[in-house]
Amino acid sequence: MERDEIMDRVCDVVSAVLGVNVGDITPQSRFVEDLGAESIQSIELVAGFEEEFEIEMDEEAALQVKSVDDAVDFIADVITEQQDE
Amino acid sequence: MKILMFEDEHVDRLYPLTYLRPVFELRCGALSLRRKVEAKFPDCQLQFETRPTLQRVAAESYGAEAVNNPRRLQPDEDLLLIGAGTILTSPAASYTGAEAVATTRDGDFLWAHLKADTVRQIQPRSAGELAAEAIRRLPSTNTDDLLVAYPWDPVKWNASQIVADFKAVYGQRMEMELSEGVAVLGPDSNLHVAEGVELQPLSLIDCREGPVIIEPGCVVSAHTSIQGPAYIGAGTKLCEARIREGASIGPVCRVGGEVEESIIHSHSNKYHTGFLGHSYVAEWVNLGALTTNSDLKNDYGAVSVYVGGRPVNTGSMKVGAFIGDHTKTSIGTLLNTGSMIGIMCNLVAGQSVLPKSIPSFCWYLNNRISKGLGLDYALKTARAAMARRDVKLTDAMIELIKNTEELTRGRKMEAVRRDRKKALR
Repeated sequence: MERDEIMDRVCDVVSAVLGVNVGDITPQSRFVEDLGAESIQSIELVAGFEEEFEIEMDEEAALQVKSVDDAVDFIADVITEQQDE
Repeated sequence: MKILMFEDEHVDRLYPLTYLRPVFELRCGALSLRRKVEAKFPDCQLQFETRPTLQRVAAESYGAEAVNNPRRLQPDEDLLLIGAGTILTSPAASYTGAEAVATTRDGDFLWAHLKADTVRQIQPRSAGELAAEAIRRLPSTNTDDLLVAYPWDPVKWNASQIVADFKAVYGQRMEMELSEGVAVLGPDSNLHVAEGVELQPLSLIDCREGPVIIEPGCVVSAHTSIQGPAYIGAGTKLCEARIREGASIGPVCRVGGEVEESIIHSHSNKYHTGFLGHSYVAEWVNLGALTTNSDLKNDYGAVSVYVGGRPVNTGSMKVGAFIGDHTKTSIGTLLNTGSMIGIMCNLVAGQSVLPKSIPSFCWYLNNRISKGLGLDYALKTARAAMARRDVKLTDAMIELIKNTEELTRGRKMEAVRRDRKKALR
């Protein structure tokens, strides 16, 4: 899957979970500081990414993801890893 | 005589209540199962055999010598072998006569009294092996003793066990003058109020149907009523609470709202309005305001409860919720009849009653079971909750929690995937 496609789909999930416009989300947007995510919404984001990409993300590692760009990298890595398995 | 209490292979039937404690630390009545044995045999030395994963935690409580000591099965005097879930209901002398073994009607081991020579002949490698051999070799005896085999058992017997513990250990005692305005219904002989209890005016203690025990340092606020049989553990605060018959609470709990026929372990809070009935709540649980559980189905049928992921018919019409250690519920959480909630869960009220079975370490959020924020986050929350009561999360307990997370991870992920599939349909 191309990185641009992952980015678009990540932005869709973030928009749906956090209730922000897709246009207000940039690769540099930080979930907590810029997009107003509460800790409880981190779980919804992880669940949203897992469903969107049909992957499984380690909770502790996923919590280290702070921005949209980080999320795209993280998901790309997981997709690659899980395709290799 | 020496006494050995041991956990057998059925310990998993009592999960999640026994993930973080030995079976004999479950409470029923005013005392834990272990304390009942200690109270019955005050001059006997107790040894314990627990799951290996619990050894460090148990050793912190009873001393390393008392837990899984290799010499426990080489007694130099008579041995009373007691299953960890057994409640002995007869006088002490009934267990110290001739060699005998007692089992339930289903054949589950309760206890055996063995001579040292018999144990030496058997040369058991474990208490379970000794119990099996005792059943084979010794004459069986009829008994009314009880076995806590499932999570709903201690709740079912809680009221009668408060009465039994009151007679055996407490008895009538009034160590302080009751303030003017405190109402007591029933005989004083059913009331035990320890020193340093603050009973505020306009509180009501009703001992007509059974004893009420209030341990040191409790605060009972105005507009609280306690209906016996009831046990209020040391340092517990009741805030405008309605404590109905058969409740055991504390030590060190904060409880308000209505509680009926339920057991709440130490350091758990249910500070606000809401109903808790026929339930068992482990330690460090927080039930948010208006959290309420059902303990009766609308068709008055027998309640089934998930044990090991499968529904088990309890045979009882009144069964509430079973909630593992460190679990938290949000405001307005509605728990279904016979709910089984694991340890370290975080439940956020949904649009309806929650699922009946939520595995350990799960979060319930937006009407879905989620896998939560991971073990480190759960431990951080536990440390924060415990620090508020000046209690430290020990390394031994952290290790046990980590082991439990590994043990339960499969069931958690299974529940998350199943719930996700359901949502996609």
